[in-house]
Amino acid sequence: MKESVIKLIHTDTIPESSICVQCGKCSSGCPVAFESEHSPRKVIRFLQWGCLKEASQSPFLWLCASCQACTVRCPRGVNISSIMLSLRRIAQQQGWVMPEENLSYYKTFINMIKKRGKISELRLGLATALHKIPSHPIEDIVLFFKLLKRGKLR
Amino acid sequence: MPPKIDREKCDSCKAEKESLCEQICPGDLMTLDEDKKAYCRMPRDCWDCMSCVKACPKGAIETRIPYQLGYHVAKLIPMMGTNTITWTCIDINGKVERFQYINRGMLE
Amino acid sequence: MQKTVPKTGIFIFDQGKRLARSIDLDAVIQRLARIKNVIRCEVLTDLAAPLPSIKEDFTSDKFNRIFWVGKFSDYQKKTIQSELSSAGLNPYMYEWCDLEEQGIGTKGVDSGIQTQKAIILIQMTLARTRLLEPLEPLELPAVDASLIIGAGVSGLHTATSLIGLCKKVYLVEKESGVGGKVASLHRLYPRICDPRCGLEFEIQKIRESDMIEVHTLSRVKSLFGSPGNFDVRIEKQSRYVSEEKCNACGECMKVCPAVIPEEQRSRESAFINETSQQVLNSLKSDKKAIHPAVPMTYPSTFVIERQYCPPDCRECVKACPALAVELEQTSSELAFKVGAVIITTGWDPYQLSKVDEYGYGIYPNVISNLEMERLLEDPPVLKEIGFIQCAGSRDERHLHYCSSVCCSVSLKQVLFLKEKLPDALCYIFYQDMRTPGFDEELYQKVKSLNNVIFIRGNPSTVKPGDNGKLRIHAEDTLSGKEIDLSLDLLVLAGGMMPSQGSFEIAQLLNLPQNNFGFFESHLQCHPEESQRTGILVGGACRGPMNISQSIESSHRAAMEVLPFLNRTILIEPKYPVLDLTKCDKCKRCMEECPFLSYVFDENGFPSLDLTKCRQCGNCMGICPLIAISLRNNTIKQIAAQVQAIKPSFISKEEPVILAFLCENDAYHAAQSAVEYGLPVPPNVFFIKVPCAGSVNNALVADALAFGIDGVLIAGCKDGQCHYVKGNQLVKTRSGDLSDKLQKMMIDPQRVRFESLEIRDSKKYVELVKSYIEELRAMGPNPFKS
Repeated sequence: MKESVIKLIHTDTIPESSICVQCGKCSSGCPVAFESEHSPRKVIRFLQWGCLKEASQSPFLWLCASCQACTVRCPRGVNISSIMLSLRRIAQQQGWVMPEENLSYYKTFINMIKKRGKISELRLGLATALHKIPSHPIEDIVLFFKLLKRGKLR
Repeated sequence: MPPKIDREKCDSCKAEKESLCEQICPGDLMTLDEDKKAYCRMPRDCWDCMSCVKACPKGAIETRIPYQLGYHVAKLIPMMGTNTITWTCIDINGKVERFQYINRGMLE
Repeated sequence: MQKTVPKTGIFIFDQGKRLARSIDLDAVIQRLARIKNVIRCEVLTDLAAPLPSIKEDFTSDKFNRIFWVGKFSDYQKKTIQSELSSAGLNPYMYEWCDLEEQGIGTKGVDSGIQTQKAIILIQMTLARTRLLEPLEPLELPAVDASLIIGAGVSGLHTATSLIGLCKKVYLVEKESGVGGKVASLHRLYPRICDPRCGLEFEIQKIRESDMIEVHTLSRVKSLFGSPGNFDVRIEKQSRYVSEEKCNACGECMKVCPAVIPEEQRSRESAFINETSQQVLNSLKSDKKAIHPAVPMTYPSTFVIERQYCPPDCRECVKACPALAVELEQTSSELAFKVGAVIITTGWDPYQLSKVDEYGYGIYPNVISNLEMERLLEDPPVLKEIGFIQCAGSRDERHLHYCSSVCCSVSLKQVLFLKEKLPDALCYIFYQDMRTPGFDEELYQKVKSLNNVIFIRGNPSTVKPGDNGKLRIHAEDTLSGKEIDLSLDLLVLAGGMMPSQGSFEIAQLLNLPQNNFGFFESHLQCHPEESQRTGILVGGACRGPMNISQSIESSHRAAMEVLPFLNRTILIEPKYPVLDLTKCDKCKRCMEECPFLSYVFDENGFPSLDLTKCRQCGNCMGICPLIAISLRNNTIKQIAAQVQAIKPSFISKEEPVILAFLCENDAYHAAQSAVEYGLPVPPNVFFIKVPCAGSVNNALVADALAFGIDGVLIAGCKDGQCHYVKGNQLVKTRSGDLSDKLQKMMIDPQRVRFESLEIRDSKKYVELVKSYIEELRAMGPNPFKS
């Protein structure tokens, strides 16, 4: 299992997972870790076992904000945020993304850049909302008004 | 013909003042350049005595044989033993000949 | 100068007629008897009977050197040597040649070939014997005093060991009193004893001894000289109090108006609450500018820190009943001679303020484990205390290594804390609990306490909470759950790093440090060494360790120092001698000596410090003009051995290998190959050398020029060489020679370096066999006649 793992992923992220001692510092500092059942430490643990599929299907993967808090604090120097990005790529290539709707935001983002060369936040929000199941647009509309009040939308 | 220095091998003899090739050259032609590598200051004055080749501890110096005798392909290489010198002579056609001499002066 | 004619007696000792079974001894004797100046050449089956006649012949000057062939037991060798030295024969005038270790007697080899090989081996050794000279050991005068730098637990124990052996000691300490870091600890586990008790025990011995001079507030200014004769200068700061008069009555302290300000800790009101204020108070020390020696009151004289004195204040002068305050004192210098130096400069705690995520130095209730020891004297009422292990340790951004004691220390602190505050809730955040040996009991004890919770997970930040508490957020990796805690006090178990004193001494004495700044030479076999002869190290300046390990290490250093404190140092005549007429100051011997034993003399020639020299021969190996020879193993002698080999002794096509084997590892591999009966091919002759690095390129060139097909240089593996890097030096040199061989149209593989460990006998035989195959494929050496 290990060899196929190395072939798929960018070679300088996966070998690093074996030096992780599972100290948990990344998870403790991660701002989004406890929104999902998994934490960055758990994902690295899956990789240490060679369970690439489990790692790529982890719900944590799509919550990662790439804030780099984990990477900066890791005592072994493991580049956790780049491992997460690599895993996202793998998940997308292998069709392991679950559920599919996680990708909708990213797909909309890329398509908008391809078409217009820039992002309009209003259009982005609406387009993403329309791709999701009916309940979401309602939550999004509430959020939309909140952001408008705070002057976050132009 | 002037000696040719292998710049990777030459380690400037780590000396403070004079490198071994500089000390032994009878014509005072060898010295160190700004990068601290040995070079021959006046190639036209070189007598081909090969003292520098024999003295270099790293084997970084080689003499270029004059074109009348063989030029690039030809080589003359001494190997210093404790009381012997063994010469290997390679001519322009690639033929190899070897000569060995006892050099009693080295060990006394 | 008249040259002595070398007259040799050769005696082949064939106990039990073993050699006679493998080789034709008569042919050997006949061949040898024809050689000029071989006076006697015979086979002995017994030693006791012929010895008197040998002695007789020696005393009547029939021969002046003897050459023994065969296998001798250590007892037999000793008997021979003592018998003959009573007749006046110098022990360096014998040679011993063991034919069997070179492969004679191996099954399956033709007897004719073996006889030829035996003859060559004997001729090799004979060539060397002819050049032997009588040698005497040197006696150099030495001072039997030693300098100990650092008076912590290691320094004190080393001092008491040495004064117990009646050796004078100079103990130098930079603080005003002895004791070091151990004196600031609260209690030790398992006897729950005060560390000062053990220190006081040693101080008592020092107080009563007149063999020791203790200099506090002193630093070493310079150290020159060589082992046995070091010249030391120390600089003593002024105490401003007379050591003769002050009797520590304390009257001055009562009137002193100046209090030494506490170290900077954050006083921002947002972070102060009742608990953190109490913590700050516990850590405060109200030391006055004039105070007793710290950490422990030996010497008993008080000391004044003048930088805190108000200008023109003379209260202490007026108050002192003994008139002991002397504000005009200036610093002084002392010079003395010692035979050896022991460095016991100890450790410093890692600066935890560098681990910025934990807020040390920002929040007053985040403290280090060392400060916790002070707090435990009289802890404030705390409800929730957290300990973070591996804070700044095992971390590539801070200390890479594990400091080995912090887990046990934190557990001990929890134990004491629970005794004083039984209702306190303790959390221990760990990555691994490292409690080796009998400390496991400590771990089990703490685990069984109430209200002590172990969390396997490293918190990533410490944030301020309500009421001056601290908020910790961590993941418990064992259950995967998140933990959110609010603590009154956080103790960071910081690591140990080499002390500031260690770095200063390393600079001053040019001592090599390892990657982490600790002194290290050869951890396994010589943990007390420092790569400079005569300077030894003990205690935590060598590496993180606990108190009993420090004490053991300091006793080891004291033992190893004794040979230098003997009034005379005996130097075996195996040291290198430099021929100044040949030397042209290229400095290579100085650069490559692993122990920096060469210094420049007045004329710019290298001059050897005999007491520093380890007699490895690396200088002999590197000298491009072969101007250096070891006294008992000269270049001429080795060259004579090499040139006596007959490379066509089996046949012109059969290759002959000359192996230079280092006597620490490779030689034993070859010797045990024969003992185990492995089939060593007869094509190989070996010469034993002190270190692979002592093989000079000229000798290898000789071997090739005289027709030997392959030269094998065998030494230690990287990092294992007894002389630090002899194997690497010879690898580079033989590489250079191989390049030259290539230009000369000779296969560069005819010279090679291999590493052999001491039991690698199978590897040795494989190596030789495969080398023979390669040489057969290459064809004979073009120089073979």
